[in-house]
Amino acid sequence: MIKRVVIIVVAFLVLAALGGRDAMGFLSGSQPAGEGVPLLGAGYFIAWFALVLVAPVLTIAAALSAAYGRISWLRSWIASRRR
Amino acid sequence: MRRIICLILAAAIWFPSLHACFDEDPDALREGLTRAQLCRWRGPLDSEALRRANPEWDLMARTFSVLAFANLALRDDADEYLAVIDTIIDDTLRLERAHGQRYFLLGYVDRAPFRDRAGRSLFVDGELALMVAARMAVKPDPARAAWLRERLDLIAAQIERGPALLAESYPDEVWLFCNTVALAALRLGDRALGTDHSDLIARWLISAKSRLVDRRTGLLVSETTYDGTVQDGPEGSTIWLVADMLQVIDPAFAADQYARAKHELAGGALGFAWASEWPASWQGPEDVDSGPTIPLLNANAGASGLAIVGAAAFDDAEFQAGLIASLGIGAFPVSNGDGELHFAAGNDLADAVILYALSHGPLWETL
Repeated sequence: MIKRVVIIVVAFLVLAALGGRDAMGFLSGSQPAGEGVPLLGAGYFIAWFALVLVAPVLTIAAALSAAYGRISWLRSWIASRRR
Repeated sequence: MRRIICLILAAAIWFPSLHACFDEDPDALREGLTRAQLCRWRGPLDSEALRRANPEWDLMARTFSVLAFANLALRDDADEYLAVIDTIIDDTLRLERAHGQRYFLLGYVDRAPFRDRAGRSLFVDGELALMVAARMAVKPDPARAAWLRERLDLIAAQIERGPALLAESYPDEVWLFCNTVALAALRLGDRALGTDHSDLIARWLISAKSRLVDRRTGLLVSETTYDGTVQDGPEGSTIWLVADMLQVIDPAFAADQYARAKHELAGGALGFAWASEWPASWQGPEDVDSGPTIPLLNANAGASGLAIVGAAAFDDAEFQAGLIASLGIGAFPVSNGDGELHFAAGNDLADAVILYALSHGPLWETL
C-alpha cells in the first residue's frame, strides 16, 4: 500500500511542478482557443483526487495493518512467555 | 481480509475528516480575491478568454465585480474601490457605445427580431443599470444620474410593454435572472434618483407569483417566451441569484425562494456542500453557463458557485461553509506571492461571483 502512496505523491508533485494546477481552466471552458481538454490538466485532476482521497486512506490502512501486526506479535510473545 | 478491513476503517477515519483540510476562512478568501480583482481591473484588461466561452460572461464579470467593490466600498469606506468601479463602468459603457449591445450577447441574437419594438436586451440594460445604480449607492454622481434615469426609463417601458410584464434578453427569450436584476436596478435607482417604480415592481410580483412559479417545487422558473410561456423550469444557476435580487424587491418572497431552492437543489456530505442545476422533478439541459456536473452527486459547478451568493445573502453560514470547503477541494485555489487569489478551475467571472458573495451585504442594506 505504501508503494502506491509513493507513486501517487510523486506523480502529483511532478504534475504540479509542470504547472498542472494552472491548466484546470478546462473545467469551466476557459482553455485557450482550439484546445480541448489538456493532458496536463486532466492528469493533474486525477492525481489531485488520488492524493486527497486515495493516498491518505492507503496510508492510514497501512498504519492500521502494521499496528495490528504488532499487536498480534505481542500477544504471541506474551502467550509464549506464559508457557 | 485484514487488508480490506483496514481499508474500510481507514476510509471511515479519513473521509469524515477530509473537509477540515479545506475549511477556509471566508475573510481570508475575500481578501485574496479582492487583491486579485483589483489587480485585474487596474491593469490592461484581457477579456478574450471569457468572451471566447461566452460574451455574456464578459458583462457579468463586470457586473459582479462592481457589485463586490460597491459592497467593499460601503464596508471599508475606501475610495480605491470607487475608482475601480468607475473604471469598469466607463469601459463597459464605452464598449456598448462602440459596438452595440450585441458585443455582450451570443451570436444567435440576430437569428430573429426582438418581439418588443425597442429591440433591446434586458440582460445588457439591466446589468449596466445595476452597475451604475450600485455606484450611485456608494457615492452620488450627478454626471451619471441622467444616464441612469434614461436607462431605467427604457427598462421600465420595456417591461410594461411585455404582455406578461416580462422583458426579453434575446428575441422571444425571457430570463428571470435578467428580469430580477433589472428590478433590483430599478429599486436601487429609485433610491438614488428619487424616482418611484414601486407600482411596476408590485404588478410584476403579482404576475410572476401567479404564472411563473413551478407548481411542483414552488420555485420561479428560469426562462419563458415573451408572452410568458414557460420554456425551462427552476434552474440552479439562476434561482440563487434571483433569490438574492428579490431580497430588495420582496424580502418574504425572496426568503421563500431561497428555502425552496435549498430544499430542491442543495446537497452535502461529510462537511462538503454543493448545488444541482435542476430539481429532481425537472430535468433540463446543461449549457455553457451551467458548467460541468459531477454524476451520482449531481453537483453542478455553475449552480454551486451561485449557491454561495444565496448562502451569503440569507446568512446561511453552515451551507456557505460547506460550499467553501467544496471550492477548496474542487476549484483549485491558487495564490501568488502578492496574496492574490484565483480559482484555477473557474475564470474571471467565477472569481467575481465568489467575491460578490463573500462581500455581500452593505449594498442591499442601503435600501
